[in-house]
Amino acid sequence: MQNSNRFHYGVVYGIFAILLLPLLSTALYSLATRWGATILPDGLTFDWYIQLWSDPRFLLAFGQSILICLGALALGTLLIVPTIFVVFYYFPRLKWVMNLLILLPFAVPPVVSSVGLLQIYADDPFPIVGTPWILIFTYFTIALPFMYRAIANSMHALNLPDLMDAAHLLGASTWQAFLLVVLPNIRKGLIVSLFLSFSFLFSEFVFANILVGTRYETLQVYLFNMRHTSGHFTSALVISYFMFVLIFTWIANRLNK
Amino acid sequence: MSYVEVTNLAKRFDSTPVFKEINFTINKGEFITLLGPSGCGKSTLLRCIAGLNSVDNGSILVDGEDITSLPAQRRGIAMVFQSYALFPNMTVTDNIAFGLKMQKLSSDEIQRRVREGIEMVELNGREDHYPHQLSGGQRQRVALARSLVMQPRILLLDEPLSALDAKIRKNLREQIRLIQQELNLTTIFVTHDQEEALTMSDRIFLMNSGQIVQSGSAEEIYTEPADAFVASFIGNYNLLQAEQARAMLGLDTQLKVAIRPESILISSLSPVDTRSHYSQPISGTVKSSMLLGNVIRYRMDTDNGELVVDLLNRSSERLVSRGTQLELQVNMDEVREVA
Ligand SMILES: Nc1ncnc2c1ncn2[C@@H]1O[C@H](COP(=O)(O)OP(=O)(O)OP(=O)(O)O)[C@@H](O)[C@H]1O
Ligand SMILES: [Mg+2]
Repeated sequence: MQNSNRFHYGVVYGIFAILLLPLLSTALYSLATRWGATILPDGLTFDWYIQLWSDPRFLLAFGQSILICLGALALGTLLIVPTIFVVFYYFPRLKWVMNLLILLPFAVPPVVSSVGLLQIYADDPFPIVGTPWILIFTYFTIALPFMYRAIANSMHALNLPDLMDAAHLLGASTWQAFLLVVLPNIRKGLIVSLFLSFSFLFSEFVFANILVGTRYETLQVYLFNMRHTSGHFTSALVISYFMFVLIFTWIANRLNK
Repeated sequence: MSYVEVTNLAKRFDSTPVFKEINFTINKGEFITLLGPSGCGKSTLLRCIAGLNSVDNGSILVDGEDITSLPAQRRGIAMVFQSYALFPNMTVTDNIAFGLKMQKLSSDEIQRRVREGIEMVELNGREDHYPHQLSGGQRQRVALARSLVMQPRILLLDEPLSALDAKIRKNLREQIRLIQQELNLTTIFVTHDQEEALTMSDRIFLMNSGQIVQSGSAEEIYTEPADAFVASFIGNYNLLQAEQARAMLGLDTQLKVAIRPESILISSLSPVDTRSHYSQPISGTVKSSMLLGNVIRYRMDTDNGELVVDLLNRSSERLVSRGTQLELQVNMDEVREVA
């Protein structure tokens, strides 16, 4: 018993260490002045970070990434929350249709769907190819399944018909009932899904590169374009980026408790 | 004039009718129990009165006002659900205050009424708890208070006690009845528990497949079942077919016959009440016996079918064992012919 326990812990920590190792070495590399033929770097410095965080192109890409993610999530929220409410309250029998629809974005690989998206968004009524809008409109479709699942789960936990009936009998309109009763109860699911969606949209590369590329540089595209500069510099970029996403994911997890 | 008048009420879902011609009146302050088997339309009737379901025909009058087409928000009718339907994101206080806030009352008035409501259902000290921090009984009391503070014209309760365990159920039903009488609140209480119906109500409406088959006081329904359905639904009646009754009791009848288990006695164990008129002795064999607290219930096999017999569980009487032959006599004054 003792032994097998120790073995299990050993395996888990081992895997953890293996996964953490590249990250640690990247972190170390980003802090190193020079790291050539020696086991440890020659010296430590924050220069790479200072250089990165004072590069206007980086700051712009960072800001644009945030803007696009926020735009996509705002659009997603505005569309999905009322939709889920309407489906769950008025057409509960259509839940399976929603479950199916919501899986579609997974069924098509990004490289393929980006071609389709380019087609749709090239002509009227949405001539937005090459503008940040196309990314917003694409990202929100990626985030939808996650948002739908998280919010639908919170909704499932509610006894929606009875709660709505009770609210109505107490004098609330459907709109008031939605605002005062339904929304506060799905808020946690919504926020968690927003944080999680944010962190993976933030790291999305394929669509960003194909649909917009350098015309509206996001963080990943910037990272990609910087791949030939100093390794210390890109390491600092990767670590900064990783920390940012880590913090977001951590907050999402905290909220989920 | 009656306080509530329901006339020719009809409701169907798609093409299936739930009920066609519901008619009844209720007086101010009356406690009505709607009793009936699962699926007979009790909840639907209640929801039609509340305005949660539309009706296809007929009218509902409360205090002379026709509310048939008013939205639920404006009927002044409150409802308590089996599922409690408390708002999970609100404390006890906020739940109870919800309806008052919707009415845009002054905050003093809201505070005062919430205070009263909490005291009425004895939830003092739980004001800041959330529903998930309360027991089932406490939750249902919050739901009750939330309805009561609205000072509704009618209080509807749809199986409010079904999710609770026996002891709390008994407690809460007494509390509901007390509050109802104190406030002189016109109340319709849905249940499929006959004990609940018999103990709480001024009148019972017995429903079966979309019809009110009998209405009356607990005593009337219990002693004078209108038909075979009522007899089989209430009080464990023995229901005999006409030919069985003719053979067993020597009755000249073309109808089914209902005999309450407590109106049969076992001649060797209990003395015959000389004021009543008893049937010929019927011989039977004990098939099983069951102790129900103050009552012992025997199932007896006779030549003309099975009979259920209830005896008071007096300490002087021993439990008769299985297979024993006994003589039974039926109190003919309490035998009812039913359609
Ligand atoms: N929304 C609905 N759509 C279609 N049919 C319904 C709907 N609600 C109820 N019914 C049907 O109407 C009939 C009566 O249902 P109702 O819920 O009123 O029964 P009930 O007497 O309250 O039963 P229970 O004791 O099980 O609560 C049932 O046959 C049910 O299937
Ligand atoms: Mg019901």
